[in-house]
Amino acid sequence: MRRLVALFIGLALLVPSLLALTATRKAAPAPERLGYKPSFEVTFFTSLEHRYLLSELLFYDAAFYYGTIVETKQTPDYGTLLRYVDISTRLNPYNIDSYYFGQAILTWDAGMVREMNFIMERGAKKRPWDFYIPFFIGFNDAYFLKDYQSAARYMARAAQLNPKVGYLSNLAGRFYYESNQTEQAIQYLKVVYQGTYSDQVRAGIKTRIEALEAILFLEKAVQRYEKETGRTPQLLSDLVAGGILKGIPPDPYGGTFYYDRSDNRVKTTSKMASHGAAHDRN
Amino acid sequence: MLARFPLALATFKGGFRDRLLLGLFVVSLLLVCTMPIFGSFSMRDVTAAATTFSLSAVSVIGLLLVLLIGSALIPRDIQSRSIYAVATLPISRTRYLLEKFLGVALLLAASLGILGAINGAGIWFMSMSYPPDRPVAWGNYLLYLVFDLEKLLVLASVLVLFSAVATSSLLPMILTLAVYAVGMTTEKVKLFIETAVGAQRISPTIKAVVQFIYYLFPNLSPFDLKVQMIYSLPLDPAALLLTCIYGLGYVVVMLVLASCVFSRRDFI
Repeated sequence: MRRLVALFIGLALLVPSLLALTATRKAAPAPERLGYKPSFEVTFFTSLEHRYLLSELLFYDAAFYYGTIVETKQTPDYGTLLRYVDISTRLNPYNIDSYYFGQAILTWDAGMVREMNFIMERGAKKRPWDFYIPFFIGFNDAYFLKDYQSAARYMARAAQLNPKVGYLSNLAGRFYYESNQTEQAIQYLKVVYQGTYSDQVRAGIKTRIEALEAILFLEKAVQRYEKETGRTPQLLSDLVAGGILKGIPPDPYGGTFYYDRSDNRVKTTSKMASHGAAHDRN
Repeated sequence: MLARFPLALATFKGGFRDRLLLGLFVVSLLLVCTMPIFGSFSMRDVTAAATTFSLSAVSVIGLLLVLLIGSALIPRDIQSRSIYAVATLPISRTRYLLEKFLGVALLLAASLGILGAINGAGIWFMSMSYPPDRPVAWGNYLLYLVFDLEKLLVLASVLVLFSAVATSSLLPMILTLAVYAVGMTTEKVKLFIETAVGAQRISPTIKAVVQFIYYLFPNLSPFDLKVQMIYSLPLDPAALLLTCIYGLGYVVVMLVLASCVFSRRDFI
């Protein structure tokens, strides 16, 4: 009987406190969950024989933090995320997850292109069999930094490492001629889409591909309009009025496409992302 | 064969009696079950992430086995006074110590064999479900297990030395854990102080201390072949051979020291 009473008391203490604790932990703001600001020296020397596991755990922390904060529509702490990616890849320079995450998030959303290229050089040296890293660096050089010479060099290396992906060599060739950026972006994103298992990342990339394909479609329609009428359209609706298009496709990000006559480009009011979308079209 | 080493056989059987291997089997199954969960968070290389997790877990379990099995061996004989019965047998104290070590070594080999086989099946399953960038190098896996075992034997020999001196089982366990931590770090620290940054920041006294510690304590880093296994990297046969000889040498020195101390020890 005493045991039963003791058990009852124990459960009475345990169950409500566990539920309350779970709720409190869940309510903690996302930045708090990424509160650990690791120093490389400390993590390196204290990791004993588990530096590879620690590297993976740092990446998981960063990915979970990003996943949580994106849902709350807050701006992630990109500086800390970069630090995590940096330390994770210094602990284990083979860790493709961290390079992948940094490339998918930090270059596109935070514009940390030079920083990520520097970090990915580490991976390119250690993973000489992997075409993704030279592919990423090459893409960044061309698309963000406009350094087509370097881009071509990296893309050619990627093509050499993975001859099965035909358009890598196409991209390498195109970069020498500074070709159409929208198409480059679509091809790049398709490679990344095929290469990831993460449904969350795949969904994000798919939306971006759809938006860029819509822009490419509209840009080609503008070119046709110019060819047929000899003048540039004032608005995208001119394309519909001129019988070139039946309608303007919707922006999957919820914005509206418009034609910017200053640089002859189709843009969208959504900027295709909540943060740093300037890179997509500018 | 083992009948010629009755104490080693008794130690080995003791492990069975304690249901150690059964417990290990259950832990191994749990480990294999958690591998897909851990790997599923990976963005790109699920098998590599799952293998990273499982190899670290195997190493942790191995360390726990050394500490739990090894630390109780000799102090338990002393505390239960069964050492007096052994003392009446026509065997030397050195032989007693060596057979105890042999028994622990056999137990560790059997444990790592079970753990390695079940974990290997888990890695195989993961690699079939999520083909890694590079095919799994099973030779590297076997070598990883062999060298992990040798690392555990080095630690077991250190533990035997401490057990030969100590009266309780707690002290050898804590000291061996400290030796493990130092052994896993000493090479990293030595390499750091030899870099340009380290040379600027570190005082000559600390450098001398680090060098001293490096040569005194076992350097366990060369026994760690995780990264070579996870990413199927080529192995350096010369380095492996040197590591093997180094480990063997360290075990011999530790056991000789333990024998010297234990032979002079007074149990009354």
